[in-house]
Amino acid sequence: MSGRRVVISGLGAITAVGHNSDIFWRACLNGETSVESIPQHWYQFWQPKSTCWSPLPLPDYSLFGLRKYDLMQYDIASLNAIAATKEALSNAGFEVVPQTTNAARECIHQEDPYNIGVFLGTSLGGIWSLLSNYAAHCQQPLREYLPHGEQSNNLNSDLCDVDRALLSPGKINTFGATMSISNAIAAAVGIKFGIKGPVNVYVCACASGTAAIGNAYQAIVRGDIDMAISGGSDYAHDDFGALFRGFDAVRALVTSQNDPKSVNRPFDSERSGFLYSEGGTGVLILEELSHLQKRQKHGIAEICGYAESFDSHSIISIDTEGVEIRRMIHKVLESAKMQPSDIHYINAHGTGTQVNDRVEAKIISDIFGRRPLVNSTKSILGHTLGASGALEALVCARSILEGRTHACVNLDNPIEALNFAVNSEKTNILTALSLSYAFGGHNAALLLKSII
Amino acid sequence: MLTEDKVLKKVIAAIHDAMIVDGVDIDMETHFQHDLGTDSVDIVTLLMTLEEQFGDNVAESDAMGFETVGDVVNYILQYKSSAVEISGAEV
Repeated sequence: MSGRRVVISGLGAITAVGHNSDIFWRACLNGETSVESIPQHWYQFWQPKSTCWSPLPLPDYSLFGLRKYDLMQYDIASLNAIAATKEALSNAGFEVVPQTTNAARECIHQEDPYNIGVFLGTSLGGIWSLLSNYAAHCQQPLREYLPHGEQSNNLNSDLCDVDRALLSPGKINTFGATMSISNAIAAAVGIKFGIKGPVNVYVCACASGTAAIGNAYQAIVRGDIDMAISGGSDYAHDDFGALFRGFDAVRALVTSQNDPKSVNRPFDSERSGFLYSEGGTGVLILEELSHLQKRQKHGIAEICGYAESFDSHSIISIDTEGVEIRRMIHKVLESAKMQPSDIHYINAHGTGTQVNDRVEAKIISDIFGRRPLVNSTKSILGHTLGASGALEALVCARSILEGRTHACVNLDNPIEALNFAVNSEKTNILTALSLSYAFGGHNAALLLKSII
Repeated sequence: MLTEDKVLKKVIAAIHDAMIVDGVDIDMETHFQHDLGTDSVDIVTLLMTLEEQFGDNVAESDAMGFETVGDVVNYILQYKSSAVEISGAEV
């Protein structure tokens, strides 16, 4: 099976700056961000150091063929994965039709379902469903004190305060357990589209999306399958701000009190942490090249290498020497028989934290010098956790296709003399390297090139 | 005034929300398993949609005993009409 080539043939995205991959890409090129103050009611729980985030408006799921029973049975991270998959399959030129035996489900017309896999990454899985159900469960005794129905209009003021403080839904969702499990994200996509090949979830925090795509790539190269739905999805929401508080507590988030639009500053000397994103989803359709050619469709970019490594250093901090990240970068270059000088563009992990950006900029400088363009898509979206690597791979693919990429937003005083992208003008991008690192010490790298 | 016709319309709406029944005419005699191919997951989903329509006190043990759409309508007419009045639901 050696010599099998893997191409990206379709893209799908749900992001804070757009609910499809084209709108997201245009927002990137225009440097459009979505940064707002955190919800006011969170302040009753603690005094946050970080005061802004990037909220994720939810799409109209009916536009993606999802119906009420889907919304009742799946976490939003799963629903967004289905929606982004629907877009990506259409983008790749596949026809999605109802299954003959079950109209609630669909299948990819004229494709063998055993020849297709689902490889999706997530950091938090169905955490929204878990936390909302947990809150409803814990608050149930309190709710017993509250009158029901029309009598709630006559509550005394103290009970009104209690009623307002109980933000969670009034009862447990019967499907709460299956909504919460991390594998539900890939399972939901597999069930919805009738996939019968390998269906797996990759959970390695902020490198999850990259690892999922990389493993899909390797499965196609091995010959296990000819096609994969790959990417990442996270929805880091809870009514009480507890998830946000966890990242705030370890001082990972932006703390600047300046204009919200300017607080997210990867690789800038004034950076203060990463911008918390409420979530996002990126999906890439991968195909073995001859499979694409038989369909007489055009690919977007080719994946020509994947490597991963593990720091074995700290659960919360990157190894400041970057030993394993450097090893991974050399490994991915070797796998594609490329030299550092062959790389035109690097989509960095670029979180905006003090240590990550300092270490990463030094690694890029040491290995690649000042030649490749460098940016951070997190300067647009903030940190979408398990979706970030997938959305950044999507940006790499579009950058190669169009020969231009987006500027690194809010980068006024770079911390290293790299060739940071300062605009989205046309340039020469035939190769791209996407880098992801994660809490725990997981590192993953994808290498893309134009299809020749 | 809660009538059989009004409750039937709301139950049919709840069934459409809970499961795929496109192209099937639903009436009081429609059998969940035989006519709609309903399984236990569908019944749980239906229970959730019924609770939205009629209040949150439809017992799961009762719901699992529903065989026909008429069983649901009669259950609501017999035991749950007060919940509809309280919730202010309109048909």
